[in-house]
Amino acid sequence: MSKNDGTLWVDRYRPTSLEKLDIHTDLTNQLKKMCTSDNLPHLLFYGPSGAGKKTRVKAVLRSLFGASVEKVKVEHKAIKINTKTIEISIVSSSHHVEVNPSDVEFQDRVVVQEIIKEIAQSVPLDAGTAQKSFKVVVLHEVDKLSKDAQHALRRTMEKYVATCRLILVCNSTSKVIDPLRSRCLPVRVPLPTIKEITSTLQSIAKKEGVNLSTDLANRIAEQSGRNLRKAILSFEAAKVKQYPFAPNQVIERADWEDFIKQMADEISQEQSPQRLQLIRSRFYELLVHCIPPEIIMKNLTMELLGRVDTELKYDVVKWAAHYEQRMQTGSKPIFHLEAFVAKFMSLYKQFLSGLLE
Amino acid sequence: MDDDDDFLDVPLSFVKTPDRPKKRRAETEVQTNRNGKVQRKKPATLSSITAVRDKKQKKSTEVDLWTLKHEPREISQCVVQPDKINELRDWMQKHLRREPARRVLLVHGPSGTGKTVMIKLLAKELNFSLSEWTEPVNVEWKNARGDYLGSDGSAQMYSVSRQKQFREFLYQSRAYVDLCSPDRTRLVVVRECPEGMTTEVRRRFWEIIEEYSRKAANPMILIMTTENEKKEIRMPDHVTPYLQTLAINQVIKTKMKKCLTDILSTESMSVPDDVFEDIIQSAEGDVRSAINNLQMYIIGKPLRTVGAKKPKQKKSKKEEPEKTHNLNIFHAVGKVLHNKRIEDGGGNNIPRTNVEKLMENLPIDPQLYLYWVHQSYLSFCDDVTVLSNIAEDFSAAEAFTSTSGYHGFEPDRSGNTPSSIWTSAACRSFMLHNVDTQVKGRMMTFHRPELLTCRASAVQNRRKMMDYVENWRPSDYASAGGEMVDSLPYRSRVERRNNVLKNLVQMSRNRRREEGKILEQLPGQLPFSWEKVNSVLDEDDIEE
Repeated sequence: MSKNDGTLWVDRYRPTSLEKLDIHTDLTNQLKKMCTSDNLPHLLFYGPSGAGKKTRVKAVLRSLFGASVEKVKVEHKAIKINTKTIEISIVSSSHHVEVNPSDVEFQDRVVVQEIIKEIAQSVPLDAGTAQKSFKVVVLHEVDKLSKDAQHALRRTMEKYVATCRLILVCNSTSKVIDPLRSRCLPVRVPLPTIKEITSTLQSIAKKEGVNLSTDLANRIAEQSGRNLRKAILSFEAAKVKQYPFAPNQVIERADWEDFIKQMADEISQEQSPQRLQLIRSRFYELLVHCIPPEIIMKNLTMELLGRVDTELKYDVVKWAAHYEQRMQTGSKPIFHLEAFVAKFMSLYKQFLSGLLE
Repeated sequence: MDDDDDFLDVPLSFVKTPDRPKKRRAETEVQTNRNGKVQRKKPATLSSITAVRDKKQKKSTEVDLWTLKHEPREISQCVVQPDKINELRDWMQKHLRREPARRVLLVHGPSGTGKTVMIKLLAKELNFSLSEWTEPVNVEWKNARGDYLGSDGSAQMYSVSRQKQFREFLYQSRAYVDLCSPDRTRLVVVRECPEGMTTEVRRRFWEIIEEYSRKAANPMILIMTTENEKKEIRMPDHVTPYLQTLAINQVIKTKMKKCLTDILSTESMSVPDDVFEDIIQSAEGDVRSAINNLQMYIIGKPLRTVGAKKPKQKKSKKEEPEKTHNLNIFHAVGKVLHNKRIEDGGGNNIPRTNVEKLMENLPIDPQLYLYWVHQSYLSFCDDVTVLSNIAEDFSAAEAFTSTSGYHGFEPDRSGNTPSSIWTSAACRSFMLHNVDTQVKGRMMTFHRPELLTCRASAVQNRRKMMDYVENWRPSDYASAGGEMVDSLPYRSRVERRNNVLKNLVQMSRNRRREEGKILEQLPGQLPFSWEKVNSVLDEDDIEE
């Protein structure tokens, strides 16, 4: 607590340069080579969340432009589309711009074009002296961009290739259109292994002067699902809750995870339209809190699977897959989440009454 | 703008141009077909077009639109109630005598009740010079810069350019006197107000009107055609001080009867009594449609004059097309959820609602209707298995008709089916599966679909979250999904326990106070917590 200045461990111990990265060393070496060469291609970072994509992007930027890239400002930029103006927050330094175009939903195409055009048309003033003659645009969550926007991106990319490089970040490349993928150098950032997570946790514990047992470190790593960010956060949360650690220290989960667990309980307790009504309001609660519907579906399925017999498991997973696919096609996830729960209730009720006979 | 836009511009304008002159020709024909005198422009209804075509084909038979031919020439012939006419006359005379009166008069009522005719006749009587605005017929496909407007932005831009024209028109009519008759007072008449448009367009429209009423000297009449049931007009408060309203009611049957009989006697025609009754009945107080129907009925027959033999065999009674009723939304939802059943011969109860017909008369988009039914259907089922079958069809209907994916990502939409078919399939599924559970006497209220508000509050929460993240990590970028799922729940926990949060809120408050921002916009209620963090903040609020 003595060193507490408001930052969390996960921010404080985030590696800032390529040299400090100790996970995925092969990848780091590759990135280093790329940064020193004159010609940096467009990059596409992909991998699950908590693997360290953003950390790597930042490290690449730093090794490209030096420390000045860390002097950033956040601005809320208003972009005019027809008569409407939409606001989007942009993080920028003198060398790069970061933006999450999927924030603006339907108008993302215009946002992508406007921002890139703006940055690409203004060549940095110190172009002669700086190491690199281009600026970098970092786009987050590219997989959530509309197809329209992705195509627009493709053209803009070609047009301004002389003054501007793109770094795209996404979870999965399956929703990124082919032409875009082929124009970028894909960089896969896999999840760290359990061992890597525990060693990271141990090194943080050492720096903070916290005594962390191997067992607890393992448990935290296991429960995080190999998500390093989550592991560090829950480590700190556990430390704040109770220190020194008890041998059977409970590792807390995120609020929404508990919430979904509670929903699974409610579903298996009673199967009725009234109960479904309740579940529907719970779904709305989650959606309102910006939990992505895919994650709700996944976690709920996992929770429900733990509560049913083996013979039912096939059906549950099959229907989950069915409605997950529907959800991707449709635009209102509540329809499909609800239909899944209705299906589960019906299956489970039939199964239970079969047991009684 | 975009390369694609330029590219699209050429072929589309190519396609568009050829049918433009055609349209205009039809239009002018309607305007000048009576003794070369310019008539008021009619909206090109189907009947008027057929009439014109008929005229072209058989020039020997004189077929003219009766609605134009028999338009009242004197105010006494007008079908509007006398007290309303007097009210309008009063208002106009006040302006003539420069007495204080409200600048703008809003005349509203159902279609075909003689609003326009009344105003025209009175303006003539009191010697006003009319300056009339109608919606421009030549549809603006381009905006001012000449860009082609894509399907998504078109409605917006299209109306904007019309707004511009409208504003210009008003400016001219208030700035210049009529050159032909400078001594007459000018009366601005605006027909076809944008009642059914989006709120944004409506708002701007009223802004223009307000601006006019504050600055202009000439009186203005707005004519607004309303639906039959709807009596009140939505308008913003700020225009009411300038505005007087005059509601015109439906034409009463006796008056309509008199009107139609007059026409028939002038034309020396006759129709069977039952058809005559039908016409009046189905017109629902709409004189124009009644006259049109009457004429169409007669055109369909060989011409005959009074005294000629009546044909022996009568025509089938229901020849007049039924006027489509737009259902009230609650009524429409009830038709499916509260469906009444009738017994068929075999002892089965079959639902009486004809879903396909219902789809045609929906007051809203079929997809939106689906959301409404979805919102309430749970309370109407008793059995979970039944429910799961219905839910499956609702899910299918939603998935295959939505126009954009949840994240704005669009899967391949080439196989999309019209949403009305899917919606009716979902409704039929409900009625088919939900047989046993009769909802007798169950009083259910329908609510607005929650999912409509859900989306908005999610966006709001996301914004709050961004603000919050910005406060403790100003240099980093917050992505909604990741932060919400991973970081924030733990972060809130850690910070709460460290009591950092309190300081943080305090800090941000101070900061914002310095910046002169409103306190309500604080990250006061953190979006990611389920009640837990809020309690901390509430304490904080009490201290203040």
